[in-house]
Amino acid sequence: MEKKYYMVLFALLAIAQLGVAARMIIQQEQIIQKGEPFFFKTAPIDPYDPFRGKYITLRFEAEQYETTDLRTWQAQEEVFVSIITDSAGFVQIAGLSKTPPLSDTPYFQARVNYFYPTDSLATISLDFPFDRFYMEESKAPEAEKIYREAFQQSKEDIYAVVFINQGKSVLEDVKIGEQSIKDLSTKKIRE
Amino acid sequence: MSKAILKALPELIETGIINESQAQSIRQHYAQKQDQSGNRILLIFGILGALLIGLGIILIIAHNWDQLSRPVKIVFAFLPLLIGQVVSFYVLLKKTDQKAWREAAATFLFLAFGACISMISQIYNIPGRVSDLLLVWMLLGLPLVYLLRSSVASFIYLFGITYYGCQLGYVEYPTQIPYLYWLMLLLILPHYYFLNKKSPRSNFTIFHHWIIPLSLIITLGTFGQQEELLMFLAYFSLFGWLYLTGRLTYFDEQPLRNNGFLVLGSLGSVILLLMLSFDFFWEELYLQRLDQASWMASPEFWVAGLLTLLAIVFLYLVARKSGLDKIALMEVLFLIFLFIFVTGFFAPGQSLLLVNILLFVLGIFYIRKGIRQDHLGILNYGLLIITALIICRFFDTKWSFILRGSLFVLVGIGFFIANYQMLRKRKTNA
Repeated sequence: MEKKYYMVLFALLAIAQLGVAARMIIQQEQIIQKGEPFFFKTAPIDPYDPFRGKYITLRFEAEQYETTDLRTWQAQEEVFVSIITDSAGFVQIAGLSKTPPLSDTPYFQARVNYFYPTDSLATISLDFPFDRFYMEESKAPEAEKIYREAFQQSKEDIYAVVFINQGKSVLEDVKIGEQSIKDLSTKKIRE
Repeated sequence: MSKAILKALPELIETGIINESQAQSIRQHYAQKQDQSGNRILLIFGILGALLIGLGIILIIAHNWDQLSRPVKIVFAFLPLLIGQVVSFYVLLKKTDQKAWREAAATFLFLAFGACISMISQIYNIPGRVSDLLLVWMLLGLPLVYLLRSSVASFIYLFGITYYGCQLGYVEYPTQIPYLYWLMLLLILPHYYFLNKKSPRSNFTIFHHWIIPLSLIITLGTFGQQEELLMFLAYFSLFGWLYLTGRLTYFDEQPLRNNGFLVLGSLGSVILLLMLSFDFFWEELYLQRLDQASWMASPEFWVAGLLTLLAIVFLYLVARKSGLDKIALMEVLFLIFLFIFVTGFFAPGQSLLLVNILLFVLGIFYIRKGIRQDHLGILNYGLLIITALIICRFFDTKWSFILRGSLFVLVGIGFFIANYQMLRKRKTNA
């Protein structure tokens, strides 16, 4: 009798474990299926940023946002970032808000890094949530090098492809020009 | 040894020293013993195997295979988890009375679940914090401790929640107090209780005696977010409480190496006192003496207060057991420290002096105790306290090199004489 009881409880646990894992996948897939892709221009990473192994750390141009809107923001505060696409196809910040925007403009959640107000202009430094791009461990160091060199040459656009749906975001790829950094580093290693 | 005895049995029967039925029970005794040791080897290899395979899978997953498509990666993330679940289910069904199976299955499943969710995080570049992942992992691993009655799962859990507490309280910015850690620690205590009831002498139980206080010591510091000076008080009461727990009859009857509470409580108190025998802490405390109003509202104040109360309750329990006159210095050390701490508001110099005197007295106390109990370990512990005290003063006193040098030589000679005398005493007694 007691055994049966244990089996039922274990079955529930197994379902919960599978359920949690499945839910993680479904949430991300929904963002990719239902959301739209956006292109975020990346910024060079601090060369002293400790190299983390199997992912590259991303910084974005749009993370430094200047505005005449002088509302105060606290460091580490959650903000909703509304975005528009410029003529070249890259994301620009349309505005920040403390609650989800009501209009149809696409948005995502980010965190305030620091807030620096002056008399007429405020600079808000943001931390976008999609700042880690995981790669195969053998390719990540090469990718990091390619990524850095691309900034020095500055011939092509370097950007991240991010799917966004109802405030949620998934980082899909990092590209230099038309090519994925994954393919570039694979090619480089084979050469 | 056992083989030699078994071989000698026919001879012993022949000469009439033992009879046939006695010989039979001797044979049975050794047969059973061999069976047990066989079981133990199976247990150790089962656990080691499950640990190695589980950790190996995590590492292989960490490679993050680029050439595999997303669906294939997802299948690989679920594969170990499903295997672990099937094996565990089988163990529950058929092998529930075999410890080796239960421990190995629980260990593997616990690790496989962590591997699965961290692989999914990688596949989708989910930026979440390590602490969030650990929280989900630990909460859905915990039931394995109870369903499969697994102590290794309990160790993984204790390690995991400690890591979670540290991530939240020390590492991730902005740091915050991991209150959930304490709740999660409570959830493992029923297992610890049953373990003590059922097999108080088993290695699993003894490991728990060490790991639980260690986890507490590591995580308590996460309370120190603003009023860090108060954390010294909190830690002192924690060490006092740990020591007193180790003095309760149940633990006190066990050898010292099993009594993690007592050893860690004692060592922690001494190390803390050594740190406070420098003047930096007391100067800082004196400077901040006027901020006491803000202290009252801080979590540091409440946790220090709660731990002190807890230690007082345990002091009462120990005193009731062994009588007030048997209460030793180490058992009331946290109360003495409370007094010294409060004194520090008015007279930091006196507090500093008191801490140094206290350490010296502690050292002497243990040397005396070691000699009385004829215990080399305790004797040398006392000598070590005195030596450490002198080394600390070596750095911040303005005494001349000759004086300091002579002190060291004297203590060194003391070590020799004390140990030599005790060994000689033992020889003459024997």
